[in-house]
Amino acid sequence: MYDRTVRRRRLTLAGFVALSLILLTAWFGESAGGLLHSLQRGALGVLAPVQEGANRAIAPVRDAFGWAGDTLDAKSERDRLVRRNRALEEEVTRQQVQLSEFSQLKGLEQVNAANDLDRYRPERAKVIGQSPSLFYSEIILDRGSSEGIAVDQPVIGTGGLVGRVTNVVGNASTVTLITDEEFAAPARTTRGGVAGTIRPETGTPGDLIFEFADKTEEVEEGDRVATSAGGSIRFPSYFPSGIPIGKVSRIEDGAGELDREIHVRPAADISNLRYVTVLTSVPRDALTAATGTGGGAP
Amino acid sequence: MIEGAVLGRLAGLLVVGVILQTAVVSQVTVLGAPVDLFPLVVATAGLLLGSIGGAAFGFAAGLFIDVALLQAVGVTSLVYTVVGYGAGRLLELRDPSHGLAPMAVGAAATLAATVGFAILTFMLGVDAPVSLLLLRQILVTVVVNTLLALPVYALVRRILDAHLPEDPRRRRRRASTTRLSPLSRA
Repeated sequence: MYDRTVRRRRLTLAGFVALSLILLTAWFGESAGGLLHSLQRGALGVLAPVQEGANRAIAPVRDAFGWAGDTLDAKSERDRLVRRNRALEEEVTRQQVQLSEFSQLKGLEQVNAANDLDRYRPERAKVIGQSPSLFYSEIILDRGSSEGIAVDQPVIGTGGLVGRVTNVVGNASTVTLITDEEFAAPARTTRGGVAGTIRPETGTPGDLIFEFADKTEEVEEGDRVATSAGGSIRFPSYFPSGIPIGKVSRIEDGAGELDREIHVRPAADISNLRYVTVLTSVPRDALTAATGTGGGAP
Repeated sequence: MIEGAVLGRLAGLLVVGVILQTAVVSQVTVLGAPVDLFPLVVATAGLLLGSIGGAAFGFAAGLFIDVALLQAVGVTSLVYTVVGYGAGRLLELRDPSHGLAPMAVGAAATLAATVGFAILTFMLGVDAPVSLLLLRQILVTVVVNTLLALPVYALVRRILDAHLPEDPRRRRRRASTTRLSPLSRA
């Protein structure tokens, strides 16, 4: 009895497997117009309307399931896009920083070329620190005495003069910016050659005053102001002639000629310094010789 | 022997199930994988009918699906024959009585069906690489069917229950109840 049951069971399995394989072989062996293919087409013709009816009838249920599935898919898609967006933002930020650095380096090259500063052995330095004050009066460079940097050497940024070196150690140095209240330098307008002294406007970061000018009536808005060698006992010059300082932004008239206040906007973007150039070899005669207007601004 | 009434219900289950599966259920996707309840239906039939009934139902279901979906005739019937037979043999050998047994059987049946179908399809020359996507779809289908196994089992059992041959478990339960019942001593 048991043997018969086992045999029957195995025969049934073998029979269905064999039948499946026969059907499979026949289906692949016959042409598109064969019996099985015709049977399928006939079944499709019968079942299609029923399937269509069922499809319509249960569409709300299916849509509800679809909505749930789509919601799950949308959540995973959202998470993936958030991660991708974050990575892209990091990439964009990195590229913007690189672009900004490249722009500053290019600006430095332009200033050097326009004012023939290569003769003063410029040493490029990276700004690694900045005073947190709103007045941006001091920056720290990653170059020091090991690279030939010494106190009082001029520092040039993108656009023009930035300041002068005031402290030096072996591998770093500090620069007092032209906006520091202690800063002063002999200057001259490039158009009329009017001589004076450039100093920061106290309490107004980023604004310079062109004072002690001998012929203030000749100065006009838009005039460019550059460094001037020579200087005086009170304000000795640390800068060779012709380094751009800025442009006359406005002139406030006073009661007399001596009361005219000439405001200068710095040519260099003092608040956004990443790279600067230190002129490491300025001959003494370049600091003492009053050479007039010198080079032009870029 | 399966009675005529059971055969009628099985035929009805087959036709309605295939129509619902093709027209509705297979259009629902979970994580990119279409839902396929038929491995569960075939496994449940095997669990309720035994190996011969399971194999027969699996063969018929596969054949009907192949014909209705204009697929290569014989592929699905071969896979479902094995699935139905395997579930039936489990009933005969182990007589699983645990309430969660249909879930385990459903998961195993779905895995066997999807993998078997994939292997047969590749053997028949479908030029598709075995990608991570395919493996993920198989995994998703197995997980979804495992979760749906209990309701499907309950539904199919409800459809067939009254006409099934005597269930050994029910027989055992009834016998044990009879022994413990005070009414039996009366």
